[in-house]
Amino acid sequence: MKLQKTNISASVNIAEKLEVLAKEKENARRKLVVTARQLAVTAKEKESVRLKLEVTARQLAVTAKEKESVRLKLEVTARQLAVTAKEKESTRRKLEVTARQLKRLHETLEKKVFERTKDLEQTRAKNEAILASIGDGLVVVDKEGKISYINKSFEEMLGWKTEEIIGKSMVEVVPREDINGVEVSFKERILTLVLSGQKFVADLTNPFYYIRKDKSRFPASSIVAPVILNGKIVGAVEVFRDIMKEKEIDKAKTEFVSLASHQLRTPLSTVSWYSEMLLAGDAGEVTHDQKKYLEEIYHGNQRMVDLVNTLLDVSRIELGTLIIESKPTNIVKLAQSVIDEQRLQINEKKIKFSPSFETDIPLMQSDPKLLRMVIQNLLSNAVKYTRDGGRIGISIFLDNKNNVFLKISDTGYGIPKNQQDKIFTKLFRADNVIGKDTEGTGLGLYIAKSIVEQSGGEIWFESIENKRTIFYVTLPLEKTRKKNGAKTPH
Amino acid sequence: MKDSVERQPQELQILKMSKNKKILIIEDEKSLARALELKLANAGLEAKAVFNGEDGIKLLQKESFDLILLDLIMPKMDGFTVLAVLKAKKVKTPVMVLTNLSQDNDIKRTKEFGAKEFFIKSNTPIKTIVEKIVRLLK
Repeated sequence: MKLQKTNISASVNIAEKLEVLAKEKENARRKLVVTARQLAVTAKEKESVRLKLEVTARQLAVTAKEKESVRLKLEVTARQLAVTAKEKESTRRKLEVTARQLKRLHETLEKKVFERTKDLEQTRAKNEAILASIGDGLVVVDKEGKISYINKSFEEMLGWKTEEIIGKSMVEVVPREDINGVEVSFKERILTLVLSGQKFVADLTNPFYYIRKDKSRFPASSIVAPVILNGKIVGAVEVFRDIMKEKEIDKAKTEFVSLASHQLRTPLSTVSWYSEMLLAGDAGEVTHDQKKYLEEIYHGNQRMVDLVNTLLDVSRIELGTLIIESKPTNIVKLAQSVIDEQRLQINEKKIKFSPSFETDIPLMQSDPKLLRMVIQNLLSNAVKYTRDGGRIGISIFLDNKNNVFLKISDTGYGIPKNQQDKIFTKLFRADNVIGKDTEGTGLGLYIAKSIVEQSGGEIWFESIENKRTIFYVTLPLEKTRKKNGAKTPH
Repeated sequence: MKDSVERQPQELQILKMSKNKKILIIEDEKSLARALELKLANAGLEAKAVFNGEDGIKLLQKESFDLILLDLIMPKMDGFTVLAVLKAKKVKTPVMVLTNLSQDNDIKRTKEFGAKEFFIKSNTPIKTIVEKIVRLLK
């Protein structure tokens, strides 16, 4: 038992000690708990910080990435910038070159423009000089007929100065009178007709009078042509001429023709009369051979006489100095006399001749001398150009329009197709007869046509080479247009 | 033409009836004046020739003629003037113009001055002229 007691005391000590220890342990545990709690808190804080840090880190990472991307972008931009800079430089250089080229081009252009301007100026000056120096009067009008240009001859001929007349109506300022001295109305003026498109180009064949500023007048002829731009008439140009000089020249020509014919005919008359007298035995008997030779001389001379006569006819027709003296004429009788004249040749060539005349053809108003020339030329051609034994017909009848119809047909050489359009031309002779007949002058048909047309008639033909030719003439029964010896007004 | 120059015997007979008639030729072309003189003489007609209008007028004052053959273009005084003078002096002798002018106006003018006939010499056989003279003198 003692042991127990000791043990118990020891045990109490120990217990006490254990208690203290437990207390201390508890303290320590508490402290540890606190610490643990504190630690936990710290850990939590740490964790939160860590988390925060993690976020930050993540954020930082993102930023970094962004930064990297920005950097990359920047790098790219920088590179691009570098390239752009290079391009800029190259472009600048190119521009510089272009600028230089442009400058050169500009200089060239300037030079060319200068040259062209000079050319144009020269042309303009030349045109101006041409227009100014033209001997004919010239006027340019706009589409309303207002004068926009006149030349020097216009000023001289009509007595108007440019500054007085520009912008005024040509038709109103410069009156025109016809051959009979009657003023031509606004509507009938050629300029009006041309501007309105009713007439294209007026010809020179109708002479008239222009009235000057001082009311005096002069004979003139003119040509008016429209100025057309994009198919529209925008004005007209008129050129006119004082034909006083022409009239004088005409007169001089007529006098020359008259004199020349006189001079040519005098020796022809001598040859004609003396050979005729020899043939008639006025200087004693001639032998058979002498007579034959004399006849050759007489015949040759006669041809020369005929030629001179024909030439005179032509010049008179052309000069208009033929006086047409119309009177009631019996065309059938006239034709008969022409036939009588040709009868010898017709018989000699054994030509079958068939005239046919309508019975009651009234007398026609015509110049018998000229009408005779027409029939004579046509019939003598038919006789000349028909082979021996051929046929010739002549007929005269009235058509239903009061025209006298003359038809002369033959079965002769004909007119070659390719020369038919030239047959009425002065001095033209068809190839196929030149060799066969040396006596033609190439004037007969020209004369016939001139007369027929001056008489208000028509002439035409049909022909087949080596087969037949038919000439037709129609003439108005009523009257031959009066033409009083001159083509210019009095 | 050929046959017309051969009928001389008949012509002569006709002409012989016009004896004692006197004809004045006023023509400057001597060969033509001579031809007319010869032809008329052969036909038994008396003819005198002068070579310009002035001499013609002078002769007409001294002698009388039955017919005048008158050229137109002549020196000193032309045929137109001769006609005008004759008209002014009221000379009634018939005038036959023989010329080589043939313009209508020339013919008209001579007719206006009273010429009876107008012939173009180169176009008219001398026989035709003589025949016409004979007819006029009848």
